Order: sequence, then structure tokens, then C-alpha cells
Amino acid sequence: MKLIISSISGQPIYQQIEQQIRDAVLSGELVAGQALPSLRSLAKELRISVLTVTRAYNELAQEGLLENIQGKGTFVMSQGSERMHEQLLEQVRTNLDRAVNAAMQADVGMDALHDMLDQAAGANPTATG
Amino acid sequence: MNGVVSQVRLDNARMMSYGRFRGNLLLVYLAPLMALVMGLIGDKTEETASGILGGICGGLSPLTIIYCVWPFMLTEQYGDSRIDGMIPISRMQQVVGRYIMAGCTILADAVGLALAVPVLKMIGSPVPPRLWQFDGLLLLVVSLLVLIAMPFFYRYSTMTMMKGMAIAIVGIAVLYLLLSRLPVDWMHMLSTITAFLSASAVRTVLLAVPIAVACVALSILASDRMYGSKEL
Amino acid sequence: MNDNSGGGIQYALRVNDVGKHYPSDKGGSQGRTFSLDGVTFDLPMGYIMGLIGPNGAGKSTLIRLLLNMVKRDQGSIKILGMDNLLQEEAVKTQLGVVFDTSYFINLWTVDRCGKAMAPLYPNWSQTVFLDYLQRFGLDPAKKVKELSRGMQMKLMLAVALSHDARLLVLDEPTSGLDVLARDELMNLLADYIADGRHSVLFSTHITTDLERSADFITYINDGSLYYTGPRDEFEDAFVLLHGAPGDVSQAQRSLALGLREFSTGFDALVAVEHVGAFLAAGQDGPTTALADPDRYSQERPGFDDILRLTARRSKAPQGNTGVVTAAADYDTEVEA
Repeated sequence: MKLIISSISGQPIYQQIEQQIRDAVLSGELVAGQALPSLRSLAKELRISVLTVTRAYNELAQEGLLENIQGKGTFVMSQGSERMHEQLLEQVRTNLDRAVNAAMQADVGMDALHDMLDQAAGANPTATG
Repeated sequence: MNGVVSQVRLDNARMMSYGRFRGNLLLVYLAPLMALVMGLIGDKTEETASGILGGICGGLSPLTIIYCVWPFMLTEQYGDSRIDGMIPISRMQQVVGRYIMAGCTILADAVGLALAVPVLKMIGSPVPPRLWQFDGLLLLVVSLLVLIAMPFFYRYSTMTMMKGMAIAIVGIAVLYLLLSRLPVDWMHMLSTITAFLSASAVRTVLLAVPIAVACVALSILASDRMYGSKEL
Repeated sequence: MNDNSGGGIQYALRVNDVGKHYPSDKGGSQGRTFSLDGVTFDLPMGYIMGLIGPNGAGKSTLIRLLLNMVKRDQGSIKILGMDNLLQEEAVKTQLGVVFDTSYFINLWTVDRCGKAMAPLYPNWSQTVFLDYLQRFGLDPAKKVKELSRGMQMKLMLAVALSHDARLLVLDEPTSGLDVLARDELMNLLADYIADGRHSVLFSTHITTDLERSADFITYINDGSLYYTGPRDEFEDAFVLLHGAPGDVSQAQRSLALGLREFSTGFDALVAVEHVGAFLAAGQDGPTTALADPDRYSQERPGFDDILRLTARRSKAPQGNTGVVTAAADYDTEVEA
């Protein structure tokens, strides 16, 4: 898993980690049930403090993205979990809102928008009916 | 006990190649060597023999004393006292370890002086009378000086000690002058005491040993006290 | 995942209400009265704690109190579960200590340093020591006085790491080192705590070393404790505000934990919970301030910013006792 931490980006490091893991999970790069690196090994590799990684993992666990199993490690939650689903739905809603706004500005009608949606679905090999 | 041994070994390491037990051995063979060399050079009279022994004692005694406090001086000049704070040896054990080393040094001095006698005899030089008593007294003075100086070395730097000793010497000289004015025959008193103590070997042991032990113990306690209040 | 792999000991270090007072005639390094007041903090096993504060604040005194090089006047200290006075020798066999300058006899060769220290520690491993010498590029035949300052520090480190010490105490180890050497050191420390059974206490005034790797921070300011707890929370607790030169009202001055004014503007450090009040307390009254969003700019301060704006103050931030969270309460375990 690729993780890039910038010390000068101004964003707290734990947030950077959270965001990148979140993105990786939502994009499918990290699959359900996949094990994440242990706290200490990730901290060592990124050369950051253990507590920072702990905090990132904990917050992602609260969000429902990750699952911590005592004695075994941290794993990506299976995609069927409610919260993950909600997050994805939220993403759909936000993106749709944006698409609608952009369509308004570009003077594209709702029918044309539906057509564009069908086209996009057609082009995406994983889209289901 | 482990700590004491560790301390001895550490001090040895501190003294490196000039130090260690090799240094103590120096005291052992220096006296007979000097006796041999000077005896062969000079004529074989009692006066010469006294002079030779005086020279040996005059040379060895300061050497012995300095050697006893050598670890302090080395740490101060070439090292750092912080090492004494981080090593896993308690302060008391550090103190005892150094005293044991000092004891060995004084013992080496004694052995060396003793060895000078057969050497003189061997080369045909007469041995000055009451030599053992003289040597004994000298070793006593050396030991006393070391016992008194050690606690101070635990607290004060060498420079301060030098100043202190200079003042002490002046003080002793003044004391000597004052005492010699008093109408007391000190030499007589001293020889009476010495005679009393050495009347029989048993008596010497029974009296001298506990006193000696008490003095050493007092000195060690004083050192621990001084060291205890020192910040490393 | 349970991070409680400390090997049975939960806290590497527990310092409770420790204090040291110097009478005015002796007084510290500058001849003034110095005292370390009731400092309390904990370091859980398996983490790195940075001890920060301006020079003369009391960091070195605190470390010397831990090692009993200086007698404490009050409080208790437990190192690796043992009392630092009652079990001094047992404690010190498990401590690795690195100072800013070498404590060895400088006539010793590197090799002799190892030979001198080895008999003092039951867990000494000569193989490990030689391995570190090689890794650090230390020539066994070189005398300590011939080594550069950075190499002397590495030598102390090699000794400290060669007897399986559970707690590493470093007193300003990086002052005088270049960036590369400091980077190497931080990597080494990260490796050291990797198995969760070792901890590090690292006193420094070069805060960039700690910004990424420190888990906990203890900030000593002018002899008293200003903050102790997780590093992230320390950085999260403040906001750095900038504004036009002279544009600071009395009310704002009292709200700021630290303020520096320049001809080009001002820097103000404000506790997060007081930012709203600060913004509303502008010189011309609340309405003007709120109406002008560009009047002040805000950012998350780095360590250096926090330190330079708060150093020398002897009181903890207002509305905050100065001890944000005791590490005992902090969740070091990942929630299952």
C-alpha cells in the first residue's frame, strides 16, 4: 500500500494517513478482509510516532472502515458493513449534487444528464444493472 | 559485593597502562631497586644506609599517597564525573572499592620497603637500627594522610585540594611551632606510647587492629557522606 | 490489535511530584534561584517521549534527578517498575544513558570503553557492541579524544544499546550533530522501540527531531511542568494567529498564551478553545473583527512556534491546568 506523508503540508499527519487509507479502501485498492500493517511496523516505515498511527487506525475503526481484532491485527471491514455503505452512498449523493450543479451551469437539461449517466455506466465495466 | 569488584575493575581501567596492578607493583620493586643501586654506589656505612632509606621513603611515600587518589585526578582531568552517576554501582560501593585499591597500594608500599632490607643485607650494607619501627611509623603516617584526604577528594576538585593542603601544611607547621614551645617532652611521650604498643606482639594486635579498623571505617563513612552530597 | 507487549511492565517511567530547589546563593547555572517544582509525568512502555523546553528550564536537572546524580527534595520516581533510589543498581543496569558530551576517560580507545563498561552490566553482549561499532563507523583503535562530537555520542549510544537496556535516556544528544546524524539517530530510536518492550526519554531543544517521531511530549518551562501527554494533542491544542502590526487589543493580549510583535505584524498563540473569543476581541470591537475575515490568518503551529511563543512563561496556559492528559488515561491500545 502506498502511503505518502508530508511534514510540510500543514495537515496533521494522522489525518493524512486516515485520508489515504480511506481513499484506498473506497477505491478498492485495499480489499475487504485485507490486513493492514501493524501499528509499529507502519510507524517505523513512515518514520512517524506510533501514537499517530494508533490514532489514525482508531478513528478509521470508529468510522467503520477498519476493524481491530485483538491479537490478530487490523483489517479492512468487509464492504457489506452499514457505515461503509453509508459513506459510499454519501459520496454518490455529493457527486450527483455536483453533477447537477455543473449541468445547471452548463445549461444541460435533466434528460441529457440521464443520458450522460447511462453512458458513464456503460463505459464502466463493473457497473451492474 | 559485585559492585565493589566492578568499581575496582573500573578504576583499573581508568588508570589504564600507568595504573592497574602494574602500578602497584612498581611500588613493590622500586624500593629494593633503589636500595640496590644506591647501596652499590655508596660506601657501606650505617649513615649511608640511613640516607638511602631516607631517600627511598621520601620518594615512595608521596608516590603512594598520590597513587591512592589517582582515580580522582584522572577522572577530573581526562574524564567526566557523570560516568559515576550512570554506572550501576551504588555510591557506597564505589567508595569501598576505592578504599580497597588504596589499601592494596599501601600494602605494596609496605612490601617494597620490607624488601629493601634483605637487598641491603645482600650487598653487605649495614641495616640501620630500629628500621622496622621507622618503616611502621612511616606507613602509619601515610595511611593516616590517605584516610584523611580521601573524603575530601570525594567532594572537592584537585585544585581546591591543593590549596587546602597548602593551608594545612602551613597550619601544621604553626601547630608544631606552638607545641614545641610547650613544656612537654613530646619525644618521650611518643616513645612511651610506642613502647607500650609494641611491648608484645599480642598487645599490638589487640590494640592496634581495632583502632585501625575504626579509623578506616570512620574515613569510609566520611567519604560516603561527602560523596553523597556531591552533585555529579 | 493489542499493543500491550511491554513484557509485563506497563510504564517505563513514572515521575511523581518531583522537585529540586537550589538555595539562592548556589542557584543553578546563572547564579539565580532555580527550582524544579512538583513535576509529574508518565512514560508508558514502548514509546518515545520528548522532553522539551528552553535552555535552563530544568530538563537536564530532571534527567539528573532520574539518575540520582542530584538528590531530589520531594516526590518519587519509578523506573521500569522499580524505585530509583531503593533499587538504584538494578535500575541502572537496565538503563542506557547518552549525554551531550562524552563521559569516558578521553584517553581510552573505543575498544577499551567497551572493555571497561562490559563487566558492569550482566546482559552485556560484546557481539552487539562490535556490531554497533561497525554500523556507526567507529574505529576500535581510536582514542575518545580523537573522535568528533557526533562520534562520541555514537559511542555512548553503542554502549547504551549493548546491554539490553529497557529505557534509553538521552540528554541533548543531537546538539552539535548535523542533519544526517540526527536523522540516523531518530531511525535508530524508532527501531529500538519497534518491539514494544523498550522506551526512550529524549531531552532536546531541537524540536524538529521530535515532530514526527515523538509519541509523548513533556514540556518543562522555567522549572515547572507546562504540558505532558500525547504529542498530537499538544499540537492540536493551539492555534497560531497572525495579524497586522499593532492590531492587538488588551483583551487579546490576555487571551494569548504567547505574543510576538514585529514591524510587519504579530504572531499570537492561542489555546484552541479561546480562538473564538480572541477573534471577537479585536481592537475596534467585535463587529468589525467578524466582518473582516482576512484580518487574522490562522494556522496549526509547529513545535517551534509553540515553544518560541510560550517559553519563559512560568504559568501554565489559562483555562488549562497545564497537564492536558496524564498518559495513564491515554488510549495506547487500538480499540478492538
